[in-house]
Amino acid sequence: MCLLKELYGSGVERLRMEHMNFTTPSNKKLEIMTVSSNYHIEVNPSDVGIYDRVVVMDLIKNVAQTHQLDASGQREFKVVVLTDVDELSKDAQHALRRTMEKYIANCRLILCANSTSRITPAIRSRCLSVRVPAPTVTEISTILQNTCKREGLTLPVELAQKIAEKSNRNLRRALLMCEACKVEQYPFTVNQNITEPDWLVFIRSMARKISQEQSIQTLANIRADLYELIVHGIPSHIIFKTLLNELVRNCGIQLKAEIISQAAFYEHRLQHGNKEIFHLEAFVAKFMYLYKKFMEDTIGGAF
Amino acid sequence: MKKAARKWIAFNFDATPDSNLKTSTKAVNVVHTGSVNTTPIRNANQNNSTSTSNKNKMNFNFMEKLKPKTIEDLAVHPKKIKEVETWIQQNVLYANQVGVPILLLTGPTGCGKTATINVLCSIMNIKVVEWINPTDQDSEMSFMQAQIGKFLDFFTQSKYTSLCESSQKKIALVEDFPNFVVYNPTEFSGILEKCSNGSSPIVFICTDASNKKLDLSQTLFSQEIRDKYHITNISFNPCSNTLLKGALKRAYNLAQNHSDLFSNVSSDIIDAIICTSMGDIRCSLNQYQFSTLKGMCEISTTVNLNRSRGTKRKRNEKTSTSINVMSKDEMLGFFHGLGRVLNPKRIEINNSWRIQCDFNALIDQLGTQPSVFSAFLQENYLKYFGDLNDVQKAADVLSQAQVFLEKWTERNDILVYALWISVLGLMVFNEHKVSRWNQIKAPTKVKRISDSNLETRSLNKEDYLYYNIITNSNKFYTFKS
Repeated sequence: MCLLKELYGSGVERLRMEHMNFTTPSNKKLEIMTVSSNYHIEVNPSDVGIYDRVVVMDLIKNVAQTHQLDASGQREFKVVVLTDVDELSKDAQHALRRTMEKYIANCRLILCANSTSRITPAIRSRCLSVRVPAPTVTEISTILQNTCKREGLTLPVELAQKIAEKSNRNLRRALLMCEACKVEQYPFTVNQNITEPDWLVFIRSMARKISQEQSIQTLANIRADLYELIVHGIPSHIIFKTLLNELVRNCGIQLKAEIISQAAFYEHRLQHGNKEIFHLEAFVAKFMYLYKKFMEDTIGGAF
Repeated sequence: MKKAARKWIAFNFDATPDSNLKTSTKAVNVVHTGSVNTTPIRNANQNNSTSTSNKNKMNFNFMEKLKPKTIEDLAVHPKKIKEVETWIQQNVLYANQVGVPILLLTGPTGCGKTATINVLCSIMNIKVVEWINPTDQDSEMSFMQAQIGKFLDFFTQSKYTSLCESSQKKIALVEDFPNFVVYNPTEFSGILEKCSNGSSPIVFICTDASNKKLDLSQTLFSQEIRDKYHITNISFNPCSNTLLKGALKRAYNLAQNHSDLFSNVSSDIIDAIICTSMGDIRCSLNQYQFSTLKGMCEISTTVNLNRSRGTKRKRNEKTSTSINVMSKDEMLGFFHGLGRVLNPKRIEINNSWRIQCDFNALIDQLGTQPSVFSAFLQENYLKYFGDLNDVQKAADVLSQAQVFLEKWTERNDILVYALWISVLGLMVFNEHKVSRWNQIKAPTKVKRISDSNLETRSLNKEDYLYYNIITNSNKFYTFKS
């Protein structure tokens, strides 16, 4: 945003929300939310799932076709901001590669992604990549305190520190946590309970279930839980990571190594495939098997 | 195929009541081979003439009377008829394009492909010239050469109108593909090339076959050829039950008018016929006629018994009793296939075991939508497994297959490998099978709930809980453990 302001002046702050409509080749109507000013347009193409290719191509084409009205005073190009580029399908990424070169004359792209590993090398090589590190715990706690000061609240340093740690270095989440804390209890106390993300708690309970009983019935229940997570939009890599973290917590070091290597294997497949549930379930089944075998071995060894 | 055809002819002169059943078996078999497609009229004559010794019945041609004459009579979906009609109008009546217009009709047996063409042409006053395989050749080699020549002649001749007729439009119809074409499909493109230089519009009719090698529409008309000669493809679906019912009603009315020949049948039998014929109008009409004929009482009672069982179980049990030979070959349905995979049958052979299943046939049947099938497998396999270790292996196999399925834009072959992997994996690893009845569930549809409005747009889905807390609302879903 600041970059855009630098480019075009304060005009970019006049934002408007727009629903844009696209039609796929198979005549399916798509609707996607965009935020735009006269100079730029911001969109998250992965909102439309597998039809993201159409959105990417049509959007850039549309933007590039219309020139700036007042070319002398302004920059001669418009900017398209695409967020969550790593969530784009392979198809869309290939389409993007072609389109971004074709319309480079009057259109610039800013791509935002959480990880470059899921972006094809073709696109990576066409971009100048700038890595923005997550803020450190101290940075977050300072920001939290500054924000609270501006709001006219007093935030104990310890609590700020705690929130920062719990937020997993995610500034947005930290701010939200802080605000949630305020709603729950104000004035703040140092030992105040900080609400953790619900899905985290959910996954934790799943992990407990898995460790308690390794059976096919449990696996079926876990599948239902996994579906619940996926349907409500928790990204699969986050599910995977959290689940693994929780699962290995009470494993011996030898078992841990084996499980993590298996997890890496299925995580890799998960990045390749398009149905997360297959791989998540396969991993859970594998874990159950290894864990059960391990437990039986240790019990057998004890006698 | 030649053999079958000959035998068939031979039986024609041998119309004793005993041979009746055998004959009909043959007739059905011929239809089932898929490539040699007998016309409904001939088939009907056959059954009619041999099924009874009564002269009167022999002369009464049931099928000829039932032959559709108007569009309303056709048991084909009106939109399909319209489609074919527009093609004829554009390409035959007002031919303005270069080259020969070619139409390819595909569909399962007895869904009214030929009938549609015949009816439409007779309405529009177009003459249909049909290719029929010559049958009087001896040696294979000379036979083949001669056939090519004759086939080509057929196309060139079809262009010219006979002197006696007024110059009406013509269509060349090829339903009975010459044998050489079936043996080496490559020659077919050469023939297409030759006949595309100039002849009347050509209509090819191909019957869908479950076996890939027999599927002429695929082997002869590859995408390449279709593009090169601008072949329009219209594919028919099996007749729907309502359409079948309508057709049978017509047959019923006809039978009523000739009550000296035909007895009444109960609606149970009609339902059973519709059920067993699986969308094959020809088969259902034949069955209907067979069951209504007077003097067939004894058999028609067995019909009743067998059929009603068929309806109850929704598919015809092939108990090969006297009458079931008339029913159509059972197509291995989607769910049937699922059952086969999830409940593998094993045979013990000295300490080792084999899975009793024809994998090739199974995969062939299911080859249409590998991703759907594997989703179904994934949803349901857990209930059939009795051991965690087996489940673990099976889940691994499914996830492996999924990797193949991901690149869904790629060629079909790869998708079939995914199917192989998942099917074999599930069947082999299921060592502790749980045999009980389980309801098959459709795969859970994962529809991500996406919500976009200005206020929450900058929020990650992981952080919705805080939004709920802050605004003290229940706008978003909360996970409860």
